[in-house]
Amino acid sequence: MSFGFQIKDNTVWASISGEVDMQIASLWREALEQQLNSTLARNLTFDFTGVRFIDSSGLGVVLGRYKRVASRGGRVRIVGAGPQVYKILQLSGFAGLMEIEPPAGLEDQEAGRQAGGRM
Amino acid sequence: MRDKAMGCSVLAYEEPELKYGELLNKLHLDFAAHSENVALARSLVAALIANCQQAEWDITLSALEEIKVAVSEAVSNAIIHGYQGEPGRSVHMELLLYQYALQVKVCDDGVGIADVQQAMEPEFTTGEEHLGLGFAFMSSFMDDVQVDSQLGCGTTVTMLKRIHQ
Repeated sequence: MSFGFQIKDNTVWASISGEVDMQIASLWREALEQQLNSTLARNLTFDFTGVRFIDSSGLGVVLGRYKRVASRGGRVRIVGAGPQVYKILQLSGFAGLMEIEPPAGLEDQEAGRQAGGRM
Repeated sequence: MRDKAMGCSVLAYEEPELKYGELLNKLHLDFAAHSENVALARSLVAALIANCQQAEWDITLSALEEIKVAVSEAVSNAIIHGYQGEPGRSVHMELLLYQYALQVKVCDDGVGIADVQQAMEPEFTTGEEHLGLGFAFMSSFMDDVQVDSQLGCGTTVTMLKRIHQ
């Protein structure tokens, strides 16, 4: 798993990949805080393109940063989530708080089921 | 209340006999309450299912992901809340793979939960940033979730995922 940051258009782009669970959560939280502390950029975009798995520990980090950024009038977005991660984000109720980009080809998911997506 | 000599009935809890077809495989495991073992627990349950030759267990990727999230939440809870991150403790996991269902049991002998009802409410959390979403995910993704807990003795989470035919 790895994460990184980029700043463009008044926005911190926080990308993370791999499995986002309690093992990475505190490290990622600290890095995000450091990044937010050292920039004037107002908005935060999470790039979840490389995220294969996320649970409530990972979502807790996202929610905590949302609270911080939103309290200062910034906007939080999540982009690049795959179908499984997107489903978790929907279930967690984040859609009411932040903009979540739906996965490309979500409609293909049913077709994928028929084909039997076995690990 | 924290007197261990009282005996931890939580861990002695016996599941009533299940009728989910033949028991195909089982795994009992004690592992250290370390954060890296959350991924290990997920991998093990996925491997147990993937290696099963029974046609019923040729499940969708989506169903497998749901089980992995539920396992991740239960194990994370044991480490974060049960043991409060205290190193050197162990989490016990039991996987029973039946023909038509998977039962996952995750036990800790940590601090226990004072009010299980309250802990299972989606908004409830004892940590500063933890979402309290853990139990909500377990309940959403598994067909049955049972939490048995006793203060000072520990917590056992028993989850069942049925394979619908």
